[in-house]
Amino acid sequence: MTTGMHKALRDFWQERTRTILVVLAIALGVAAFSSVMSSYAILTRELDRGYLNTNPASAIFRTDAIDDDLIKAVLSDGSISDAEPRRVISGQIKSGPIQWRNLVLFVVKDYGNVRVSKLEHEQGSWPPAKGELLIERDAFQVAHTKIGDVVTVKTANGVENKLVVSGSVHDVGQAQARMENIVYGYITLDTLELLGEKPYLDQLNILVAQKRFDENHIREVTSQVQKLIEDHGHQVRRVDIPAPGKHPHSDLMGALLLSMSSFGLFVLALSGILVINLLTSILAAQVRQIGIMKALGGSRWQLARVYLGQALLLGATATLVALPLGMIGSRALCRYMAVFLNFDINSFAVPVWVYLLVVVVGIFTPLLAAAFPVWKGTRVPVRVAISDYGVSQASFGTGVLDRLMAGIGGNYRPLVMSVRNSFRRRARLALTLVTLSAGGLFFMSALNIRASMINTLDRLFAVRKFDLSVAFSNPQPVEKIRTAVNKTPGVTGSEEWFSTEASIADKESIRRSDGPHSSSAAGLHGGSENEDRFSVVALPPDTKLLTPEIVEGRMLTSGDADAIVINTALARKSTLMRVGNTVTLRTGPVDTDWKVVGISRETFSPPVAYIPLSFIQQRHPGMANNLRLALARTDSDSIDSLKLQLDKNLESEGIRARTAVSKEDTRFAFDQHMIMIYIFLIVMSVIIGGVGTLGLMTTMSVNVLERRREMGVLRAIGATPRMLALIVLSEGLVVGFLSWIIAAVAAWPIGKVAGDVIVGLLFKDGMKFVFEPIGLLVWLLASLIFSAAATLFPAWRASRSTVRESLSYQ
Amino acid sequence: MISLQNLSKEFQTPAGSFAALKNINLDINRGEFVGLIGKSGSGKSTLLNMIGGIDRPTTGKVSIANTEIQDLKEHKLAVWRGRTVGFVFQFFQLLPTLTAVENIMLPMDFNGTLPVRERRTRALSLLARVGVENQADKMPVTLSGGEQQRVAIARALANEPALVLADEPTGNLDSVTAHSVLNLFRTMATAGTTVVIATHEPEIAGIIDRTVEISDGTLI
Repeated sequence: MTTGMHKALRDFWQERTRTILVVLAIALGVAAFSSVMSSYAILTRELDRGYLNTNPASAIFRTDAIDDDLIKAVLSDGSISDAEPRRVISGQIKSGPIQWRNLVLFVVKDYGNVRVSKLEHEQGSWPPAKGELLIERDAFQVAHTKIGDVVTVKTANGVENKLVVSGSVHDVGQAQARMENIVYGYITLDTLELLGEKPYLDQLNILVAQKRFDENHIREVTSQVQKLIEDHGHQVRRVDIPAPGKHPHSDLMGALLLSMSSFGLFVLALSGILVINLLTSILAAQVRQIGIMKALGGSRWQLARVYLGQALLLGATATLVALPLGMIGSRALCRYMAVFLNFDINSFAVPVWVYLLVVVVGIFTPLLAAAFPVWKGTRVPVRVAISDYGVSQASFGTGVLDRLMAGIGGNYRPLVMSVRNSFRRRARLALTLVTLSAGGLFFMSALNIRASMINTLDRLFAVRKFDLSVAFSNPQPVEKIRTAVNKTPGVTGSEEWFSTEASIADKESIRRSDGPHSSSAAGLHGGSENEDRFSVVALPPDTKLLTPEIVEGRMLTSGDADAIVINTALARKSTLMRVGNTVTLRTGPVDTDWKVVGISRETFSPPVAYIPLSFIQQRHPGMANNLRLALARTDSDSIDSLKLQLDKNLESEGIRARTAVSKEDTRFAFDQHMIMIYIFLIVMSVIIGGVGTLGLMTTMSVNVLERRREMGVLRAIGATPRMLALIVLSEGLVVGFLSWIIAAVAAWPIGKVAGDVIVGLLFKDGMKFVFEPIGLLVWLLASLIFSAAATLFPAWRASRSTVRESLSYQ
Repeated sequence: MISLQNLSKEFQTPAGSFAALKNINLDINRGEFVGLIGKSGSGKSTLLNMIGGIDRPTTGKVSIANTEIQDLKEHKLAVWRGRTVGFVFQFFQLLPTLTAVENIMLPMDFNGTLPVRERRTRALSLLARVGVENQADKMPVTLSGGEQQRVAIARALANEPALVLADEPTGNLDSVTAHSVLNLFRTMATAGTTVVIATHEPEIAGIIDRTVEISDGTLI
């Protein structure tokens, strides 16, 4: 080992407390970076592997009853490797006295031979017997049930049946049930019959034989199969082509990981700032030593190597500490994401490239951070270096800011001194403030983004003046619906709507969808930029139960015949969708021209168009397939009992409700998605706050060290150890307060930009920004507590030094 | 005023034990102006530290104005020091972030001397006494060496201490300024303050009342 390395090691040993703090801070940054990179490698690999292992369908046809002949015919096509029929129906499920929950039932013919979009059996019976129901593992909490329970299930026919929950399955392709607030159930054809439904399967999942990930090839094959199905006398109602080989949520996960990677790099950069601070202070304290080494013939580069060696040591030690921490963090993150996206991780093995990247980043970041302070510190001439003496070496009092500070007096000099001391080493103060403020900024941004999301959702739901949405499988007579509603107490207003789907007419009829079951999961992920189909809602003239926030143009009026109002999500889909334009939409087999008269703001919503109900009534006179109700009481118990009563009244009119969803339930699903972002930001702010606190601890400890002689003077002129500790503590609090001011000022613009970026990445939408004032107060307290905690140790150290030691400090 | 009995101080160094002071016995009267003379490393500063309560003896007693300080707890020692002793250092050691007048008010703050409103007035009068009243609101870095030392002397007098200790107070000043600073100490002593100066300046002989010479930790 060279003499230089010996010196580097011993210098660190001499300043071991600070060295440990900086190593910890760098390790925190490297660990965060390593966690994110490892998670990225593990999650992308495992999600794709897990998803591909299920043999996800290349295309899904929705047709009428599928017979064996049709399947044989499809399978005889050489371009198809497999085809399997299923059925997906909506219904409701109730466990005990608990309210009805929305249910999506998957009907599988042969559980012993599921080959396409495979299900993974978890617990209980397999296959389910007649009268038994399997539930997706994540949906148990939504259903409030467990294996062995008897639940009540009803489909659109309204007949209630008791089924036994006999086991659980894992369906990788489904969105998280808890987040969507939907129960996924799995039954056989026998059970379907038991539920009063006709026992047939109408959904054909196919797997192409070659080029499974080539979307164009899949489209070609799909066209052939569609023709084949139609040639066999079946009608194809809809075809979905999921993104080939891509989990429905891989984009969402990619966006999340991108946010996390940015955060990992940010924390790493912050810890680099601590290295700058530490090495600057070490070099400042060693000015005389540097002078002596230069006088002895040391070149600038030789001296720089000693201190760069220290940076190398810091990086290497931190990386050693960070690697296991990063792996632990990565596993935690992977598990969380796996639960969030409802998939299993079979292996946590981290690829070698991640280790190499972390080692390179962990070692070179401190080296890079050290470059400037080392270059500057070793520049000092010999004469200046060896004349370094006394407490007044820092030339406080010559600058404009110093003079301004001198003008700010007070009756209590120790406090005045603390305030002014904070500004003595401005570069150090600035760097410390960057790290501390960043924590506050993230925290306040997290609160602001949360408040903004809540506000945006509030606004979204405020335009919905109805409390309960009831959907029917088929159009029902309006008169009968009204009779049932009129007999139901607690309804203060009602409207019959009609909802359907449409697409822009000049596009292909086969559309790409986001997921294999996209028709069932109408949550936040239901609409994607790539999907051309969108909902169309026919509204009565002068509707009272929907008052959209029109951002351009106008709302529908009673005289409208061919007018259409689109929401912002739909307006983004096509340049044709502009106020004043005429667009041709295909609803079913019919192409119709519509004049866009307005655009409504509906953040976080899938694309929706509103048309006059009169258009539908020409085709379905006196019919509606949706009912919207405003209620006198909106607590869940009241809504549940009203639903029961309404169901009975509808049944007495011969109408079965397919689903009945309260506004609260819909809001709950939205809120669940928002919590994820909020928690992510809070965790980020805590980690950054931790790095900031370590940074302040380092800074204060360096400050105390540099002023040891000054401390001695203070003690000599009568300052008690407690007073000395208070002076140091006050200085730390001043820094904390300054960081709060910076964070408070920056929280608004940064929070808005960060919120827009995150929400844009995750939901491809914007939000109405709201500033959360309570965040200012909370972070003020937090920053003062962090600062006090960070300064306690240096303050204690300062108060412990004897006067003689302090005065004789070189 | 000052009574040192059988005072010894040993420092433990990596090279072994080092006796900085050996069996010192010394009495100094109130209002006396004493020069502590010796070569570099002779033990002058250590002895001054013992008298000022900056360091504790290994053995022996330090009695200042009838208070035995060697056994006082750190907190009480700090309070005692602030009220009884004024220090003047070679490199002035003014606190760089406080103005001249604030440097003088600081010991008053520490010791709660005088009501808050009267502290500035007293600090200004002390600055006037040492002839730098026009520099009151300037930062130390903007003052000359002589001016800084005058401010340091004024700070030493802030709490009207019975004892002023100065360690090489003129070591960093030119001869004219040094002479004027020594005269200030003379005036203090004449007014009844006990002054002990550690120095190796030969010209001090004409100003002080008594010379105490120290060599290798022993009084000669």
